[in-house]
Amino acid sequence: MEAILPEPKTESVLARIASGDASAVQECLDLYGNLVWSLARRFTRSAAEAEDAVQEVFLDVWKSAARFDATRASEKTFVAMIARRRLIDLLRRSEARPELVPIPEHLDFADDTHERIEQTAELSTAERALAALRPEQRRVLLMSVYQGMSHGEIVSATGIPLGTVKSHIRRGLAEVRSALQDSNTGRTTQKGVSP
Amino acid sequence: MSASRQRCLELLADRATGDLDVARRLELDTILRQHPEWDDDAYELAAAALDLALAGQAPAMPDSVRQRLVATSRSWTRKP
Repeated sequence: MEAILPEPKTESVLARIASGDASAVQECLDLYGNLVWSLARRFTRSAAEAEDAVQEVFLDVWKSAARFDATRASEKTFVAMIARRRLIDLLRRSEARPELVPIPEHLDFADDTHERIEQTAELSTAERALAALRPEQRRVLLMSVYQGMSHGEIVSATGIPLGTVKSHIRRGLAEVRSALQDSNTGRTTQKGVSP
Repeated sequence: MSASRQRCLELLADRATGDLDVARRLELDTILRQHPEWDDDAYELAAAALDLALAGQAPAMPDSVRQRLVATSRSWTRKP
């Protein structure tokens, strides 16, 4: 008698969570636990705070699973977006901010010989868009996005006027957003999916 | 692009970096009530992609944290 093998799971983990597959919830922890932990450690002051934060983040991720759209971003980026939303909210509400994490040294865009972390096409697109920004604009965007600094904190740290800080961040994010949308449109068109 | 759309994009970018105060949050809510089709998390996705592109190897989540998450996930999946 021929054994009936289970069909391989090709659906995304988030799609399976949205459809009520309980096993996908733990698979989500396996796939994205380290990523969320890493973000939580950067945006909180202690391991204890990070532990509470990752609980809140994963509840948000599971509840938001049905909103994931693979034509707009990778699952990893979507999970990071949900995590950042919760963590930044906690950061802004806390009385004292965690120690600033230095901006990675490998981001020396004048030197293209450095080792690159293995990246997906999506993340490489984001990094290229970042590299194309003017140095001051890039610095301000990194302080905001990577270090989680508020606009006011960036003004205090750099002496750049608030309006310019806001403008650098908005324009920088718009450039990255536009590059990602162009890239996604190309990817979905190549796959035969309407953009 | 209309002034209202331009303002909405500015506020969405501010939201993506956690820099909306109460007054501007209300302003964004008002605009999005009038134009729900403008609500867009593209700036937040852009910030997340940048963050991931810059981050190095993620440290492993401690086992105790994972165990607590597993317990949370079990009670969450049991909910009707």
